[in-house]
Amino acid sequence: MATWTKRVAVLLPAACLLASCIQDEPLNAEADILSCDLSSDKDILVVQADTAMAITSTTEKIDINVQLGADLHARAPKFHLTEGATISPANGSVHDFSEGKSVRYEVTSQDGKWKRTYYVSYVSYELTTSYHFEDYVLPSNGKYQLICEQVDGRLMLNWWGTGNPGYSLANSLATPTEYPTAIVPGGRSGNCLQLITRSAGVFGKMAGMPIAPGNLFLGSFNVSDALRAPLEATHFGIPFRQIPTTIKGYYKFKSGDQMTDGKGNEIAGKDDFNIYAMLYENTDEDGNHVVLDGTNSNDSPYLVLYGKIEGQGEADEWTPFSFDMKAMNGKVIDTEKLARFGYSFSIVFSSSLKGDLFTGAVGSTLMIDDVEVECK
Amino acid sequence: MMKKRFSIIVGLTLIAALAYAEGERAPQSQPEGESYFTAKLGYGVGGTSPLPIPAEIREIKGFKPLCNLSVQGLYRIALSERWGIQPGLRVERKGMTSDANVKNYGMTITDDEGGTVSGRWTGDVRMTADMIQLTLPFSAAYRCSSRWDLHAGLYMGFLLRHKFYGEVSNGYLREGDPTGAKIEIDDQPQTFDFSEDMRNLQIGLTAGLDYRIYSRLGVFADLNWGLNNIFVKDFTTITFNMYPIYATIGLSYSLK
Repeated sequence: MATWTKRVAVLLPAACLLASCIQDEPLNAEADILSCDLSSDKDILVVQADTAMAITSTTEKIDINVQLGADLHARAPKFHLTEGATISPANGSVHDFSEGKSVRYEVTSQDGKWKRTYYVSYVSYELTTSYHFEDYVLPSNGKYQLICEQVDGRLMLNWWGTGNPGYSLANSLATPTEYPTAIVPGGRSGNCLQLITRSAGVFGKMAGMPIAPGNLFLGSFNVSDALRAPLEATHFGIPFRQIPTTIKGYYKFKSGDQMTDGKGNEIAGKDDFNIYAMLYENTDEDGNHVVLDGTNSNDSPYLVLYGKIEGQGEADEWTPFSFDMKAMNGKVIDTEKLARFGYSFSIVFSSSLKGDLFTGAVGSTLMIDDVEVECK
Repeated sequence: MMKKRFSIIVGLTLIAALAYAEGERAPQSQPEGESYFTAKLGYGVGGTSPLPIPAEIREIKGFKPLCNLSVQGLYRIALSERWGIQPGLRVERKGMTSDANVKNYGMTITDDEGGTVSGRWTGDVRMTADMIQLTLPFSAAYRCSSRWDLHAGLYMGFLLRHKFYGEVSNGYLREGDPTGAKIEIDDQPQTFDFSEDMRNLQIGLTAGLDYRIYSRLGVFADLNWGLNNIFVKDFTTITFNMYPIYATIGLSYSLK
């Protein structure tokens, strides 16, 4: 009898399980360019070690940095795609990229249901040394500004990086100027840069990031790492062929009311802002590409020059700042390496001094305008 | 949890065996064609699951029923010597926790105060579905012999409490759709909670059998198969319907 009950108790769920077996794996729905294979362009690349150029998931425009004067009439970049995805025009096909022409590639997912469009260009503009924070574009999702510089009428989208893509996870309803980093009117002339430390909400707190400091840096932000390892998401540096000596500009700053620590607990004190700059070797001894990020930007053995603002504080009016770049790790600049774009340069602005530790005051506001990098 | 479940099953089996040993002579005293009240205490094993399991679910790595106790009262109204109808009232819990690995699975990662990010998740999902409901079963009952009864019918359940929550880890979310920003989440899980998106009323099919050991004491086994999605119609995060399917075994006691 007891066996009967047991049998029923076993057979009924077993029948349910049989009705619901695991099905075959569905085809991939993603349609990404994961990286570019630039081995056929190795000779003309700015950073020759970067032939496997990684592409972040939010990228829509891919700029391949090549040396000035390179022949771009017939180039055949290859792309590493999501498994099973296809690309049109064909992967590795030859196109004319001269005179700033971009080629539109469309990637279709393995399951055929999803498509992504990329615009690929070869660019050979050198990083400019004065920044007036006038221009931005809104990407196709329209959420936050992509801050750019205008060079010869062309908008250079890939120079400035911000943590805005990470903030969009914490507050998906924010308008572009409610993001921590934005271009706004009210500069010394025209627009200026506005960095505001925002609350990252409960979502940010849960992820160990209670605040979202406004930040802007020369480099790129990889949103894939924004929750997992936020400091590694900030990839600093743009290849640079000059020796920066002094960083100058203008700021206004007001601290937010209440400081909080990395766990979101209230602490005493006032917030301050931060500006620093670095020049580092972008290739290691074995020829691998080196990128500094938020975890190692002030103590990496690859640092060559480093400078940081001192004695900052609150300022209601536009106030000049200036700091010098100092040699690091006992290194001297190798002029031959410099000419080959062997060094990368970055300036980093943050509306909270200890923003990298997620310590700061919500509301701390840093305005920046007319930044000049003096070089020798 | 497994231990608890096991000891309940062993306990029920033991009681049944003891009652059987003691009550060999009893069943013939059961009069046929009589109306009477029965109380039942049961333990449920089952799950809240899509049917069939959609291709997005790649692997089910673990499954645990919660402590699904049920208490019910049934009144059998005899219509003939063998046939009767059997309305009832039951309070029961239907709960389970599962661990799965999914691919491109609709997900909204949330917190208690409204921060959310939605999209398609690929990676590990641990989820708990936990419902406490007041159920009105209504069955046709058939007496096979002095010991065996069968019944089959419908039930309607009003949820007194409903929870559906869990966490995701070791994977990535594509924000919005598979072409959106890719957000990686490591072994530090992020949570989700769809409790507010569950419907309050459930209907389903019920069928089962009863065995009398002693004149009043018996054992039973029921299957309760939910027919409507546990989520409300405008909930689109999970792209497939989920149904509660639970088997219950237990003891019955008839008052005559």
